[in-house]
Amino acid sequence: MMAAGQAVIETGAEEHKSSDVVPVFEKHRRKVYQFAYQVTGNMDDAMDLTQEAFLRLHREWGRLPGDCDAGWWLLKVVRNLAVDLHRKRSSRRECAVETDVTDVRTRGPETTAMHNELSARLWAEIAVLPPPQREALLLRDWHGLSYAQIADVVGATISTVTWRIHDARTALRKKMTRYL
Amino acid sequence: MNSSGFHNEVQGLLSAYLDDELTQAEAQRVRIHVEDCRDCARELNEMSRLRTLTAAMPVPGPPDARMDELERSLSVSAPRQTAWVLICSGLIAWVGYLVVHAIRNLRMPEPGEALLVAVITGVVLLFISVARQRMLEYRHDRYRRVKR
Repeated sequence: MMAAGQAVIETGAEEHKSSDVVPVFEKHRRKVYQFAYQVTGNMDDAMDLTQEAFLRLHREWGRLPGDCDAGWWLLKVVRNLAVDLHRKRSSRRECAVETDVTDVRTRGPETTAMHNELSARLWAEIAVLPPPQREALLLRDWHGLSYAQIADVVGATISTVTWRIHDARTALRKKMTRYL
Repeated sequence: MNSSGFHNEVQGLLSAYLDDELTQAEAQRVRIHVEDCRDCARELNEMSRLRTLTAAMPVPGPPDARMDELERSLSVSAPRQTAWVLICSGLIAWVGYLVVHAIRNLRMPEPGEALLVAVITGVVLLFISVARQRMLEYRHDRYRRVKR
């Protein structure tokens, strides 16, 4: 059920030679879902985003360039879907992130998984970070991507990513001082 | 730059320094400053701990049942899509070949040939009709976004 971070999504250049999308699904499904969960803070939304990302991969499979990395491609799709979802809900005056943050605070990412007060506290603080900072921080610290890779996934410059991660860590450090 | 300005500049670089994302020159400047600055050393140490904690933060995995369902739908739809592409392109090529052949050999068709053409035309019309009906139904299906 649980997985620690820092397991980098491996390059997908070789897997792309296969005509079947199922092995790619097997390889990346967990990481993709977990990233979707991290950016939405909600299990149902995470599942919907994961499903949509893999269906899109399936549709685009033949058209993707041979050197395209399926792992990053999926992260990009999930990230863009999450942004769309947030916009849609904001326009309907539903603030998805805030709702989900409450959800996370009361229940944690999953109650059974959160025995540890420190992790729960940390997750609650990460969940209230501005979404661009949160995704950059998690892509770096949890998924182990480099700044250049993060910039590619989120469609920003490396400099922007550097500041987002710095601001996220500074904010978290202030809130987590007594635990550090 | 005065020492306070330099201190602030280094503080802004600590996070990237921790991630080994600075140039060699920048990293060296940060390293030298951190050796002498207790505040920056403490901040770097806390950021490092924070990074370790974040990396080890448990995150729930996907629900197995829904993932299996998604995998099934992917594994089913992949060959199905290929099959449809093959059927459609084969059908188009075949009809095209028959049309060209018929134009080149204009004559009264044999009864067997006429029967074959009638059957093929019927299948093609049926195929177009079903495809059209499916499209119309899909466009007006209010529940198409509802997940089963």
